[in-house]
Amino acid sequence: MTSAPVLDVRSLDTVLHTPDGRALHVLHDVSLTIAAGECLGVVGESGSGKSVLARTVLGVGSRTTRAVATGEIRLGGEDLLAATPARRAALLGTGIAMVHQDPMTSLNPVVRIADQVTESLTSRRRLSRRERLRTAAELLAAVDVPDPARRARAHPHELSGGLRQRVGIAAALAGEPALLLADEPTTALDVTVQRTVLDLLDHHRRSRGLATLLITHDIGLLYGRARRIAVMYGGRIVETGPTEAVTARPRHPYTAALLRSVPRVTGPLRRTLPAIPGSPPDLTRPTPGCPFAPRCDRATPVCGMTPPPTHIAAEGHTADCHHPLTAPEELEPAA
Amino acid sequence: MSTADSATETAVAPAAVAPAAARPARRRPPAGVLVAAAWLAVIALAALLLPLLPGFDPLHGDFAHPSAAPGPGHWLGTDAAGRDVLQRTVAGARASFTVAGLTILVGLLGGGALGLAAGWFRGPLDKAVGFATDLLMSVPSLILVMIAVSLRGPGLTVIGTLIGLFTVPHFTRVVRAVVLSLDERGFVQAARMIGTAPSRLLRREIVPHVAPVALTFAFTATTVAIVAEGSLSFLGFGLRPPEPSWGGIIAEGRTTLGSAPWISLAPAAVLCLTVLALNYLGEHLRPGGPAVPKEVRG
Amino acid sequence: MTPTARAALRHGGRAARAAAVLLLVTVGALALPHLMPGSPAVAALGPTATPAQLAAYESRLGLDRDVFAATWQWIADALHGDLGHSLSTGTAVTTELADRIPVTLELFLAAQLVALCLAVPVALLSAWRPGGTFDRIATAGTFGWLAVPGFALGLLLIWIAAVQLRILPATGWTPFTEDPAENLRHLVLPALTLGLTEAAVFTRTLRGQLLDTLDQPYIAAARSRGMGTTRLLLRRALRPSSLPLVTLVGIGIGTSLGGSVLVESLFAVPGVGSLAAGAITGRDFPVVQAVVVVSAVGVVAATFVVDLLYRTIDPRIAHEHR
Repeated sequence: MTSAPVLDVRSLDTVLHTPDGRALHVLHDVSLTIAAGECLGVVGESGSGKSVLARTVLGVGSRTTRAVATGEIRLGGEDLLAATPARRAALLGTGIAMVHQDPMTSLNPVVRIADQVTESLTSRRRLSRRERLRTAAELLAAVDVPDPARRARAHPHELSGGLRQRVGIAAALAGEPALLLADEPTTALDVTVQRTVLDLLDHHRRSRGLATLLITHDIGLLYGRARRIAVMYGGRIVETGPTEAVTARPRHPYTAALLRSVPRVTGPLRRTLPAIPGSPPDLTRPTPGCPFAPRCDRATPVCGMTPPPTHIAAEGHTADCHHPLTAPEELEPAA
Repeated sequence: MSTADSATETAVAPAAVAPAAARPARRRPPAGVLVAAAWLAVIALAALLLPLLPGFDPLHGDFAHPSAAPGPGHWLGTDAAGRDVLQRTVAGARASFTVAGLTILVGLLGGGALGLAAGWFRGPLDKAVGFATDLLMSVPSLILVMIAVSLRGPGLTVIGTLIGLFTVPHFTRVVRAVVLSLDERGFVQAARMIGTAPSRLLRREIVPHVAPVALTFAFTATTVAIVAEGSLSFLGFGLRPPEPSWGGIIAEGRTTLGSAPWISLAPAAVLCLTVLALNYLGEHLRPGGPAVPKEVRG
Repeated sequence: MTPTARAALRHGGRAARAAAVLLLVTVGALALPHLMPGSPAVAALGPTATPAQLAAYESRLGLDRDVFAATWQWIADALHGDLGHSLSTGTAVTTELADRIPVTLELFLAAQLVALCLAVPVALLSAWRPGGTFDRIATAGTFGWLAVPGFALGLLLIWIAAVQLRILPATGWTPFTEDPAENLRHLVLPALTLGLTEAAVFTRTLRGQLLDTLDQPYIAAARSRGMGTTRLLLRRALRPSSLPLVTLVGIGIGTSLGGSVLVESLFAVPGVGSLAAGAITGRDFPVVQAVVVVSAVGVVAATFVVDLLYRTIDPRIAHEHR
């Protein structure tokens, strides 16, 4: 890594206190860094904690569920967890911006596109209607929305899903943030549109030097986009490393299982894609050992009792596992 | 997974990562339900049993003590004619509950039948029922009941039946919506396809889903009837005085509001508490727990 | 079929339906005297009336024709601005209504203002922190408030403001054109009675809808762009949550002509409601009939207005129906 990272998360723990009095330990000792212009892919099933990670970094949680985060979240060197609420609010949209999951529901149906795209700006200072329309048209043009001046005046229902997600990206870029959090930005889109939206994100990441956290459950999306991958399970990063290393030679059994569940275009045709048996861990009942142990085919009694050690596969490629996959034949199980 | 906490009406999903928590088993009825039920039981028992006691005469005037303040002998005081306000309030409960019973009967039978028919047969019948509900809802209901009372003479039967009639459109809509939603969810179609007899379908699928709605309706209709009867009696279109009814007693006391406010305010308090208890029970006994009423676009 | 034609057809269908409703209401209103046991004419004029007097009376009420012919005649007259004459005062019914409709509408608009000024802030504060202290108090309070019927609340207000504090007149009315200040003093109690009753319903309706809206991803998205709480509630959440409230207010104004009987009688406000109550007691059929039909027109008109408002508030509705 050449320059100081834009985002530097160290030993982040998050506990959610729900209105009915339960405490959910949703993030455990999460550490990661993203440099300017770099894309970090965060992969995991639903319930792995990847969305909470984004929301904790952003600092906007649920209105009724209190989130308590400890550790460090440094944005350009500034510790956000130590910052005042006013300072954190001031960073929303301008320091950190978010591209939301579903463009069908993340745009207000009764508010014109122009007013929503410029929200990061109007939250700070008044803009006249004319200024809003002009700025919005420029922002929309930058994300390749055709006929941007007309689209700025439109309401969300008049746009297709792909266009709406472009609007979502334009809204996120409006405040010229240093860090972009993209939470499953293409999950709700047609497969044909997914690629163009991801390419658009890549383009702006490169041209603006945006640090990008790309969250997905689909590890296949990250090839060629994310330089590094963090695999999350049960609120922990269980494996992290360069994309090629992690996908080609996964060390954690969970990563290997995730990779097996991705359809491949090349290679032998399998009749069925193997699913990972079992379901994500119950966060109300934390385990002392490895969270994946109950579902892991390599688990031994020790896995359920002691926290897994960090296995160093190579420079910058680590996996937290008692029994990491090491031999090449283990990486591709018998069909 | 989200968990909806129904008791606090907040029903907010925590984070997407929260695992499915075991929903708490059916909890004990909250204290409020017991209090509300106890209040209604007291009113109902008093209305049924007190008139059997010797010396119970809500029409008897104690001319020695007109407009007496509440105290021993007359717990809620006496009215301008020296009649016991407590006895009249108890007697008034009979009028209110009689009207409410008729309202529920008419509303349930009429609205239930129309709603079922409209939701089941759809098509022209549904359109006709929709038109009829539109018609009923565009008529000023209170004025119409007043006209009827003025033409046919005062009486609990006329009032109860007509108030019931005006609750029919609301009930029809709700029942129709339930039937349509069952259809949408495939229950009815699936049952039809495997050749289930309509009567069985009605018994096994429709009635169990309509019943909770009917229960909620019964509570609402009772409060509507009590308030409407009160309003009518208050306006002089209820029972023939001096026959006591809550609205009537309250109206009689309004002229002496300055000197003897209890004549109006005591029965008014009883009426409000009764409506409150009914609302509370209706809200908390409904399956799925209490919810904020959401106006459905008609 | 072109979209315009489809829209025209739909509007045409709705208009035809509304017209049919109004026609039937008119038939019903004109049939009212028939519902009376015995002869309305004898009941009104007494046993000493001559057959000529009875016949004249029946002709004025249209009782000498069948009810459909009478309806047709009534509608034809109504379209020429003639709603008949009051049996008790002899004044033209149109004159009576022209005097009284503004009073009722003023009362109802004031009441809606009271209700909205209370309901909107309370619902917003409640919904922002559901389950919080304010929300619990407000939710319990409005729930209890729902149980207080209008006449009981009115009496209570009279007792407090007119009997105990002696700051406001209990009954009566002064037209706005005569003395605006006096008009306001007379307006306060009836408007509060109506408004406070409605405020509970408004608050609960709006709160419920706001809870839905605030859970929408688009609200979280606006927050992620740094939008503050106040702006978020007022500029982003209120509008998509206001449709049910618009229905309540709109239909409320529509039904006000026929629904104001109680408050107007209680406070002796000379509006449509007290006109109706007096006419019903006095068997003044032309007035009663006119009130019934006019209030049905009000309800039908309000439904149309609410529908138009829906389209301006939520562009999706206009889009779906285009």
